[in-house]
Amino acid sequence: MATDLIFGAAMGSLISLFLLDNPVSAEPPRAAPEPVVEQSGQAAEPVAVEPALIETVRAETPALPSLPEPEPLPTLPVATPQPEPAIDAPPAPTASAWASPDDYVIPEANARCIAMMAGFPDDSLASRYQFFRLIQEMSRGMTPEVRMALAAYSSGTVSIEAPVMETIEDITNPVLRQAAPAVTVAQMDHLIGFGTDCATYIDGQVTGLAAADPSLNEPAFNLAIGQDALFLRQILLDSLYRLGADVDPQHGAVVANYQRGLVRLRDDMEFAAFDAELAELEALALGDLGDRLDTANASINDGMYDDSTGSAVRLAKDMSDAARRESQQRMARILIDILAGG
Amino acid sequence: MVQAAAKLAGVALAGTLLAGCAQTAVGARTSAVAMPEGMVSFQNEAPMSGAMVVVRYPASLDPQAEDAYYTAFARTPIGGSASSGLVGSPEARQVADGMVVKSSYFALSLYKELAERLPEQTVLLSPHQLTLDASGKLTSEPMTDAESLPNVLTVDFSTYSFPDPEKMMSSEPLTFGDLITPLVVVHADHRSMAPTHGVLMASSPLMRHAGGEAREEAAGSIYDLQQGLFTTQRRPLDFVAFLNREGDVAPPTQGLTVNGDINAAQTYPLEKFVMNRAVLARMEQTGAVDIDPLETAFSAPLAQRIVDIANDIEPEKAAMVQRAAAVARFDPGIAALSLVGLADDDVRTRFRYAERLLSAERKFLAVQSEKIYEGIHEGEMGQQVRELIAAEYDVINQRREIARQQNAATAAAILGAVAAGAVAAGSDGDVGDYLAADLLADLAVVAAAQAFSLNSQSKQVGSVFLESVVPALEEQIEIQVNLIDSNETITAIRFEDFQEILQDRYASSHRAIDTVATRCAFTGAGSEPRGTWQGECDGGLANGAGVGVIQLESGTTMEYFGSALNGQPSGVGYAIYHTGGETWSAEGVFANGQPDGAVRVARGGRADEIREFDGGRDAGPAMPGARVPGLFDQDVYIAGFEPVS
Repeated sequence: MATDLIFGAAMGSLISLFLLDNPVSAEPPRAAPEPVVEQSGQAAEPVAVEPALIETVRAETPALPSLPEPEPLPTLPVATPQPEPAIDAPPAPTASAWASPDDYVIPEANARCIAMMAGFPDDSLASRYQFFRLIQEMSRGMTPEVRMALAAYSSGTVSIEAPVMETIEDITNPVLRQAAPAVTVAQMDHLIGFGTDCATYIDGQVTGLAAADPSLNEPAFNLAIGQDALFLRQILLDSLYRLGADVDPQHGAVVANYQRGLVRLRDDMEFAAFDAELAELEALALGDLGDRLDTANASINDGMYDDSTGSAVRLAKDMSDAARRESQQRMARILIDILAGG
Repeated sequence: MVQAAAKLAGVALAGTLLAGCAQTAVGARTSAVAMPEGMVSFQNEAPMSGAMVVVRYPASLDPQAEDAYYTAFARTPIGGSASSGLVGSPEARQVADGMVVKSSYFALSLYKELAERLPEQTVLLSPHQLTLDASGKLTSEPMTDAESLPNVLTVDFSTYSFPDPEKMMSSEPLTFGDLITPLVVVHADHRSMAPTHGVLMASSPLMRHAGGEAREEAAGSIYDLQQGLFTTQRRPLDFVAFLNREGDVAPPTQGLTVNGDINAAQTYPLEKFVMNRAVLARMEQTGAVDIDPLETAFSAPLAQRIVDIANDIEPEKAAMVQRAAAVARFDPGIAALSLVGLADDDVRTRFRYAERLLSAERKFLAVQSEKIYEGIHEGEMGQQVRELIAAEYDVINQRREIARQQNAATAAAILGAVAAGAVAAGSDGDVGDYLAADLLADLAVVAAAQAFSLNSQSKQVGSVFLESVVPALEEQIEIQVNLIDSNETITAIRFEDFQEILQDRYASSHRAIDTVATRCAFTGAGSEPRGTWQGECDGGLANGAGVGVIQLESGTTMEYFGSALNGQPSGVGYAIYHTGGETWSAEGVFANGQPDGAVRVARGGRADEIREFDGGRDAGPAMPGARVPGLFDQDVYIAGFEPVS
């Protein structure tokens, strides 16, 4: 499955483009200090962003290519977790509800998970799988300390009912993340919170979708998803730097650690791409070599057959038999001689 | 009476000539390599970038080297003394040819067993051609590229038969029919077991030659390091060194052992054992390609023992210089840095790509080995060798039967003679007694004549067979050479392309690094820049990670792998000291060029010891709780110490 499946061929290419332009660096580019961020070394106050700003930026950003026509979804063989019937549908929580590391076990978690999952693309198995895997990858290794840092630098709220694709589009929007990095942090935190708290649901979805369509397990496809997740992580790091989180006495070390992890992740990802490329080359080259050697072996073996060992053995047997007969005749002569009194 | 006495004298002469009972070519039921513990699974880590085991064996004979090989083979018999008339005799040539054919066939059995027990595609075949070197001396050269990659263990395998076929039914070594005499050497790079120069196990007749060749190989590698080169020294088959009577150095030795922790090579006694006869019979009846008469008797037990050796070895040490040599082909900047702990993240990252590239090459060559195995074992040569073994088995059984008849006839002759003598001695001139004694003497003469005849029949059966199979042997060698050559040609062409593609991908994928390896001076514990350092340098001196070699003022040659400061070993490292009479190693922390603190010391004939060093002075056994940092993160602790993570 090719990378262009990602985001229904739209978001994937967009992210890939950013990946090329903005590789993960040890020193993320620091933008000019933004007026809304305190540089005192204390955690920045959440930045209030007018929803109108987001709308304006969205309107000014070139539209993404349209998604392909949705395909009817087949029934998945693995049942997705169901909400407990006794719980009423909760009101849409805010991002801050997800971002609370001290309150990991959220009573309404099931309902929230279900509500958020409703905002996932459902036009094809691939796109649905892709988004769930993306959330999985983004949330991997997010410690409570990182979550605390994100909570401290988040601004604004993200509705739990907001379609996940729209949230990601906002995160990847270059204008928006320059203008309002705290909103980007909030949006990332929103997705990471979902990925962390709803891990069971997400794992179930990923497993079920992969079982329904085994081609979704293809390494190259998953590698592309991992690269997209890495890109989103890089955006988060850039935003934290712009907000001064790296020099924050409380969160600076966590951010630095996150940055190191990101470099390692990028290394792993790049190596995985190299590994996958070599695996493809190996498969082709080894298959080709094997076929050629088989052909050569068959040709040589066919041409060589002449039963030389069989002939040699028959010859040896004939010669031995002749020798035996001669020996027996000699014995008989000796016996006659003896019996004749010689 | 006179006539009877003469006959008795003839019978006595016959008995003397027959020299007692004829021998029936017996062998041990189980090989000495069989381990009492049975199954041992591979528990070590195979290097990603290289092979775990390369199996080398004589597979072909260069026509120009025929005379040298036949002569050396006849002149250097194992397990007995051969008559001078054997040199140049057709019989000795037949046996020598047979050795090449049998070695090739049975090496595949060992390959199969090793491949089943070790990680996938980490066992490679390296058939050798016996040929002449530039000076006209017998040598052997690999026929494939299998030895161009780093590998942990090298196994030299061949079968052996005493060059005088007259002795076939005697106790001399033999590989014929259901009997086999294997010759084996297991060795590794000398850094893996410094005191033996890497000889880990060897058949007793080959031990001193393997020891000598290993020391030569170590010297060659050190010389190359001194020149600033990483090279892979590949010696000829140790059996060739034996034929040339070369390399006579005895490493520290011990008997065959399991989980051995002594720094000594295991001695595999020369043996002749019997293959599974039921399996041989089934092979003869069915002709099935998957029947391996050597498997249970030898190949599987030897493979188990090699796995046991592989579990005990430190793969990193065994493969590090060969790997650096392989990496140097396409990325000399990190070759020297790949030898040691790879502390630098950037170097480690880049090295990961290099390792992956080498693993792709290894897989490629592994396919070649698999196809050589299939082409030969399942092809025409395999079929012919199986037919040959079956025919040999018939011949040797026939000779065993003749030997039994001969023994019975000899016994009859002796008993008849004794009885006739007794009758004659007790007779009082009675005609009846005279006739009885004469008849007994006649019968004894007949039995003696029969014994003579059977003896000659037995020899004739053997020699006729050997003579008649010569064309078949030659054909089998030819088939094999064609298969190997063809496989090698195809592989080499594809391999070249493959390597080029891989190296392109490598060049476009790896990142730039701040630190690259260069060459500068290494001073050892002194201050004179007499040694060579490859690795991180500063101010023209060793500073950082790398490898250095130097001849110390005492005459000892020192190899050092690890960290250095101002030209001297400093920090964690692994040093090998080659003195005139001994080679030993020290691993741990170094200061001012000398081992300092708790150091792991390996000396010949002893287990590794943790000893306390004070500025290079050995102050005795280290205290409990001492920790020795290993070069490859394999820290060693003295028993009783609980490492704190």
